[in-house]
Amino acid sequence: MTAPLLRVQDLSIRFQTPRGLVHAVNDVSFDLLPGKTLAIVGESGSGKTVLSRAILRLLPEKTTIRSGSVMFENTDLAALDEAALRHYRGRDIAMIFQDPMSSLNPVLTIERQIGEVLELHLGLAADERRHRTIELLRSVGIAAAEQRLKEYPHQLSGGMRQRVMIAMALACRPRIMIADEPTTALDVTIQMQILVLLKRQQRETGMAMIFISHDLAAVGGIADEVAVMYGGRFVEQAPTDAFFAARRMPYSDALLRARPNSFAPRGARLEAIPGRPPDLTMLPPGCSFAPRCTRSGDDCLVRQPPLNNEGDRRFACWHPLPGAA
Amino acid sequence: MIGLQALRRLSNQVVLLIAVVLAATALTFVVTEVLPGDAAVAILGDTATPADIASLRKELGLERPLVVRYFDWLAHAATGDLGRSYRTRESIGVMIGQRLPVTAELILITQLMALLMAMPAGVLAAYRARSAIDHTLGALSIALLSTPGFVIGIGLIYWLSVSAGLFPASGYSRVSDGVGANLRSMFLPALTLALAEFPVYMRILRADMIATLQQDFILVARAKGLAVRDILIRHALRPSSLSLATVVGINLGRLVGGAVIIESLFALPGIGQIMVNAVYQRDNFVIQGVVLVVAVGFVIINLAVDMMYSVLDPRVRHGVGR
Amino acid sequence: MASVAEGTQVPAERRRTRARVGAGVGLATIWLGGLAVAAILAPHLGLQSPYEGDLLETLSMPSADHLLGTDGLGRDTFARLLYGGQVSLTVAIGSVGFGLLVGGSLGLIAGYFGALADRLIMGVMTVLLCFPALILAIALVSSLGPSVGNVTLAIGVIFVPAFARITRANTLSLRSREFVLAAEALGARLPRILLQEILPNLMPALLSYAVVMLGIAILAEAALGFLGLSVRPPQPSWGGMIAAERGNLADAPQAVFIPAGFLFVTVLAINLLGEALRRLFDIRAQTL
Repeated sequence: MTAPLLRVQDLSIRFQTPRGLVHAVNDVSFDLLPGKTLAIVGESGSGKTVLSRAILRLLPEKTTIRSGSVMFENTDLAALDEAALRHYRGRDIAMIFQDPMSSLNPVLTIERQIGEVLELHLGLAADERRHRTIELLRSVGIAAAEQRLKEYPHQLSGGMRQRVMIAMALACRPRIMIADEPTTALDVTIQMQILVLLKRQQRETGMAMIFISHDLAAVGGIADEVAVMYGGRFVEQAPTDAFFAARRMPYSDALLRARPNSFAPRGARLEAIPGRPPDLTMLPPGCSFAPRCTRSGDDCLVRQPPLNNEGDRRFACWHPLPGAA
Repeated sequence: MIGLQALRRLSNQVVLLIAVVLAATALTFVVTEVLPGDAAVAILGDTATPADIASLRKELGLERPLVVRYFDWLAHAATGDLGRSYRTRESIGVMIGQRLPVTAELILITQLMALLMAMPAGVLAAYRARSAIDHTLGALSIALLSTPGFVIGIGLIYWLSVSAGLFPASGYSRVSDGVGANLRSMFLPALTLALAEFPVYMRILRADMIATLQQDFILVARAKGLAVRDILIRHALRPSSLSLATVVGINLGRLVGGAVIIESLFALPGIGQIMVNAVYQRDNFVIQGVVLVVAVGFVIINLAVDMMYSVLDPRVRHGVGR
Repeated sequence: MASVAEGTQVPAERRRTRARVGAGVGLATIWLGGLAVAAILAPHLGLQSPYEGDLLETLSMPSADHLLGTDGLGRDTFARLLYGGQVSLTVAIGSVGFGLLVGGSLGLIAGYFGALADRLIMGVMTVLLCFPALILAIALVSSLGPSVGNVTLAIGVIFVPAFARITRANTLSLRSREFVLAAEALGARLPRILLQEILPNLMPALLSYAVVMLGIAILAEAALGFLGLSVRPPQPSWGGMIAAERGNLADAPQAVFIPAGFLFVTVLAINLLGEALRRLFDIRAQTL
């Protein structure tokens, strides 16, 4: 068995806000193996974005209470001081974000923004940086790379900006890429291209990826494993094929069904999940999904179901859907 | 780098320059005419006889209708002749030429000092928003804003001049007599004015910075592993400087008048001085001349600030809306 | 959570800050209220005379007889400060009122009607702004003669463009709001729209701005007084008092710094109040 590249154990993140203590992430644990992609899926407010940021400790230090460990190759990132942590950011572990327009600095050139990382982490000299930047831009599929160097983000299209972001993230050949909804803001055709790009990069360098999304179906083509988050917890985790074949936890099932079926007849109803996501300042003692669950019983409201292992799959439910026959 | 949009804006500015100068000088002419008080009376004093007054008025050409006088003046001004002072008969061009550099130097040093103080303070206050240091800077700002310039000036004189003897309490030393002495004579007056501008600049920069620091690209910069200092200075400062640049530009013009009191307090021979005296003495040509210079300077500075926008924000350079 | 700004406060700290701010505003109100009352009732307070001085007691430090000492001519500083306060407060309220009324009306017209009216009014404002403000004030006061009324007018005129601009900006944004469009669609007459729809919504922003301008007006009057352009002596004005004792800075600094301190505290109080009001009414400022 290969050693995991990243091992997250019992990670919990709480925020102090005027409204109270927000329990954004609760006791999340998972392993990430080299070359593999873990997709983390959930609705808004499920905690997936906070989780993605927590790995590199990008959350505001003063109001964040964290516990648990984030082991990257025998180093606990959660215990490092800021200066040491900066060595990992952008180098061993890189991140790409949702909106490429607001994620790129509008007053700096493309060359500058990519070159920064090369200078900081690899100590490359000016001409080496230029060379490598052009190489990177070409590798992400940007045509006239040399011309793009001196341009500014607003001069590029949405798809191109996202490619620039990816180039920036890949610059130092990271071992792990954290992608926070990288295709949500793009056209469908561009989405495919970006996903292909990321996949290819993984095959070539053995980079592992954490792919955050709210769209289950988009995740199907890219992930090796799918984890569903609700109320800050992992409620189900399984290899992709197994997941799409069957779900055990009712919420993950409902989530998949909620996606509009493009082949359904006109006038067919959308299967929405009734109710609303839980208030993270007042999480119930039992399962957070119980109030909205069609299968819940009294025990669900009282006790938190633990994650059960069942072969390759884990899920947390007192009354799970029947397993695959 | 100079594209078509830039050229068009340039020509717009030139038109604006001419329009503002005409409007300002015409308005001044009308105002000085309408306000009570008469140049001849001011020059000759209370003991003058009506006959004396009438003949002086004729001599100064004050008998002619307003419109005629205005265009006559304008025609001369276009050729560089700003006329002579009623009182001293000096060439106004020469007078202004001698005194403008003093005021200009004062304003320049003031702005440099103010920015040198306000930029680190603004960045720090934004980065540590709502912390103790931010509140302290805020309190300092309000205190400075509540103090009139001349009181700050007197305070500085008392401390650094009367008590400590570090700088001259008043007087001006020309550059030709030694740069060191010149800068020392400028230090207290410039610091006085700078302390008055500092709160506004700091506040503006802080507000823009706080907004910028909440943008996604700052998070991305952090995720790339950049140190805080690099993020603040390289990534956050430039997009946050636009409002500050605007205000600095406006102030350059405003300070010409605002420096009057400080120039008086520190006995600096700047144009504020002659303007004030001219107003007391109804020396209209001097007033006109100074207004012309100030108006021209004002618009030129606006032009420069506008061009600076292009440098600071490439989106402006390429004519993209924000 | 993209924020790098690290100093965000924990709830406990926030409470402490709010308490501190509240205390400051409270003190400010007490000072201003006290000053206003004292200034108005000055003749009835049994003070020493602000006009007659005891030449044996010049430039003295605060004492039982003279609460804040005496000036170069032996006159009681405290009394002079209160009488000078009458001038300052009158000028402040008068000039801000003038600016608000005239500037506000112009801005309202420009913002509501747009097009030619807007261009014209704003054009005049821009030209006015080209004049160094102080010089304009000096011109007006020196030609009209120094008096409370003229100083008030001069400073009021300087305030007009500022109020016009801010009123116009706010009117423009209000103009296309639903409730105005609704009123227009219902056929409401113009005066009604202006008075009952737009004006009430302008008030909060304008008033908080006006409070800040009060402080500036007092500073401006002090500046003019310093140049000898405020009320004529022997009537006291705060700026004039500071100017008069400037020569004695080395020997008797308190004669300068006590009036200066008084001026400072008053304007500070106004600024604190203005800040609090601004935070109350300006939603954007609340996040700062």
